[in-house]
Amino acid sequence: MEIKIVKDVLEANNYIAKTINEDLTKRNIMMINIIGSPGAGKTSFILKTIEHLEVKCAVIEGDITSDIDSRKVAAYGIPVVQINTGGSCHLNANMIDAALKVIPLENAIIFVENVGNLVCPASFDIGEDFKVALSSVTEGDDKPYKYPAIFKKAMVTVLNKIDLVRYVDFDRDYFYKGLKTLNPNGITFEVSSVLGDGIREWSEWLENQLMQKYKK
Amino acid sequence: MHELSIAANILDIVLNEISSGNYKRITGLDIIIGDLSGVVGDNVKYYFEMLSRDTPAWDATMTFEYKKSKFRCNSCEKIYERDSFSILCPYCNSGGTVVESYTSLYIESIEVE
Repeated sequence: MEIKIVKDVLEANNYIAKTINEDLTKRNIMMINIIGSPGAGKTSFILKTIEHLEVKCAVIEGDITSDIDSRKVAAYGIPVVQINTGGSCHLNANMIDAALKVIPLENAIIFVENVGNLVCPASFDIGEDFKVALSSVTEGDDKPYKYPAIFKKAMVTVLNKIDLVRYVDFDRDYFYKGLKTLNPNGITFEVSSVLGDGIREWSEWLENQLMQKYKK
Repeated sequence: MHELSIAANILDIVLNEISSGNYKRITGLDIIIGDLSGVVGDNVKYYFEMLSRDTPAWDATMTFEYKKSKFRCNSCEKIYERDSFSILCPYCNSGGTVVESYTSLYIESIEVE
């Protein structure tokens, strides 16, 4: 006998994610899910961004193992929680729910650095306000073509290490052609997390997003 | 590898479904996968077979239907589907704009005894 179900496979995760987002909204917190390859520069991008922000910030670090990134963040005096997934290739809403219990903040931005991976984290909402796909020029210009799910789902795409573009074979037109095909309304920034290029524009946009969320 | 978590979620949903309906076992599952979901059906199947051992879902036949996103070419304006190798227009190689996108994954129906 056939039974019609029509259920989203990730409905349990998505329910927790929705609850997290509602709770964060009550606390005037905006949470950003940063997704990129290993070595894209996620940690240094977060640190450089926080340097430019006036608002309080905290970081949740997701890694398969180690606390290397969270120690880097803590060295700047920024509240940080490390999640070790123990082999799992992505963060899910349950893990974030537990981590948020030890961040008693209000009126803040929380950056979640997902596990370095352009595939798996794209499937799991974690209660974020939006996803940021962080790609770097040293990875090549073909990333939107190879990993369409994340470039489709991310509201913002940041192209990092832009100071190195003259040294690598990176075709900007090709990169943006793929990105805009998947995500015509997506917002894009080009930055160098080392030199700080483009970070001011991105940080100002971010603070503006937070203000808009407060108003609501 | 995220298909392991996805297979575990599918198993939870279907086991819950049969226990609430007092059925003995599941013999089939129809799954719909969006081509922009980033999920590979064969991997889901592999993990589901592993996880469902010794449960009423063991040996169920899993079938997948892939929903294909549609794009409109920015140059020749033809509507096209993404092929396995590119998201660009297959007629003129220009970029396009997604007009119908499938990013989710859901269980359409199950077959029970």
